[in-house]
Amino acid sequence: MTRNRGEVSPELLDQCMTEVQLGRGRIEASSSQFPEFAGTLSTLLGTANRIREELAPEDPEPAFVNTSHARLLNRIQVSRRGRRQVLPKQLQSARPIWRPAYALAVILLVLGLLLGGAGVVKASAQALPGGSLYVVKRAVEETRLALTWSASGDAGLMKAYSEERLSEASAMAAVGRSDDLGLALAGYDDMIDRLTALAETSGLQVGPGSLVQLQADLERHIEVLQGVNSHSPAAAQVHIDKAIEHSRHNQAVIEQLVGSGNPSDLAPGQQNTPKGPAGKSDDDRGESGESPPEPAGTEKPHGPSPWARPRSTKTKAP
Amino acid sequence: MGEGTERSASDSDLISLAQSGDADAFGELYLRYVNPIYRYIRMRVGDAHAAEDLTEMVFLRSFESLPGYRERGHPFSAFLYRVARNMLVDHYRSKKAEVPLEEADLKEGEPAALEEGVIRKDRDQAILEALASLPLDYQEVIRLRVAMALPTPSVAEWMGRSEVSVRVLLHRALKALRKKVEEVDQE
Repeated sequence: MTRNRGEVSPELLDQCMTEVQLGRGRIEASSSQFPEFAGTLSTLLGTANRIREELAPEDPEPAFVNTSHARLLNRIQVSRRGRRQVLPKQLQSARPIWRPAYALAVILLVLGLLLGGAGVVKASAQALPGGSLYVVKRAVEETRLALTWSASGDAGLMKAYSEERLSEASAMAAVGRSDDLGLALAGYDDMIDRLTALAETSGLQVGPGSLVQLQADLERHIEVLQGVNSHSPAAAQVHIDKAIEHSRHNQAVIEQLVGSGNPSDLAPGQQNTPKGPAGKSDDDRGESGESPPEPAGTEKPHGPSPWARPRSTKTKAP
Repeated sequence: MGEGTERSASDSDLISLAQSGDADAFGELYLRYVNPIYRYIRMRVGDAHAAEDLTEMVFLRSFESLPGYRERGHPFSAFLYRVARNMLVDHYRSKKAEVPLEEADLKEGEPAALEEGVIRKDRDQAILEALASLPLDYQEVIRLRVAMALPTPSVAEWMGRSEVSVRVLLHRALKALRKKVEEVDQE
């Protein structure tokens, strides 16, 4: 997917929307600030405004919050009292008791895996969605991913597995198993998301984990999916269309990452967008003022969210 | 958690305390997140009473799930959001929804965004119908980022995406919405 010259970027749209939401600017001001994109910005921000006017939800009533808070604490304390009434002896009897029979079962299970496990793993490599060994196949893949130590190793495996999912989907389409095709493509979507996230942060310049290579791979995947789509039943096409859309979305993400921060792309007079590649720290949130006017969050990663409301404040709708 | 608990206690600290039985700690988490969770549910169901009931159930269910909860790099608010979404699915299924949800039988073109009980003549039907016709990811990012005005990092955490992905998704969603609105307006 290529962006037409003069089309507003996602970063710029997000930046202007934040300004409008925080009351720091009106739609007209944002549009006039970026004249090259004025028409598109005005239209998109206007559409967003219609949504906000129609759907912006109200805050809860303070009376509900207080009553519900008290009810919640009461129920928690009641449930804790109930648990404390369980006698230690009763609790102990609920725990599994280790018995010699269990030890024998574990030994037999381990022996079985050692003797027969290698064969099972090998056989599972050919398994297809819906087959009895498919779970083993996916488990083996995840195990291999967990055991790789390098980003490039991960990327290579993720690429292979995403393409394996496409092969599985193609096989399922050929026999009309739409649900199993959907299962394969859900696995494809997941693997592509993981590979995109890896490419976003790994800094790899070549190979499967690089943004450029991934972009090309996605283009190829879309062609494959379109080919499968053309001879698939309608029930399968729903899944395939979704996978194509998912791939295109990831392509757009990559395009943004590849294109971010290049001054030569900026039109004369256009303000630099503050956003860079993904992975910026929480501290960077403050510079665009994305948070609604609330006490600042702590520096801890999961401290009070900037938009978590204090107890007694009735907030205004954005 | 006694009277000396400071406002600046992190979610992680409160969760740990709640997991070890401190009801006040969970109460503090409730007060921090009841507003956005309520607003999300209110936007989806339209009715204030139903939203209140569901909000309370979200926190109850979250508390019951606390023993097995691990942050794993995702904030507590994202966990609450997931619980809320699942609760909404159950809610609509149990009511045999007139307004289908994504995990239920969302049919193409149905006005699924016309939340129950709020069909007024003065509503912007065009925008609601247009929203309902969009792919589900587009609808959700518009609800969270636009209608609820959540900041992009929060939307990213809730949707389990990167911030770049959210910005791109929002951009595409608004473009698609604009196009649909134009089509509806012309009808």
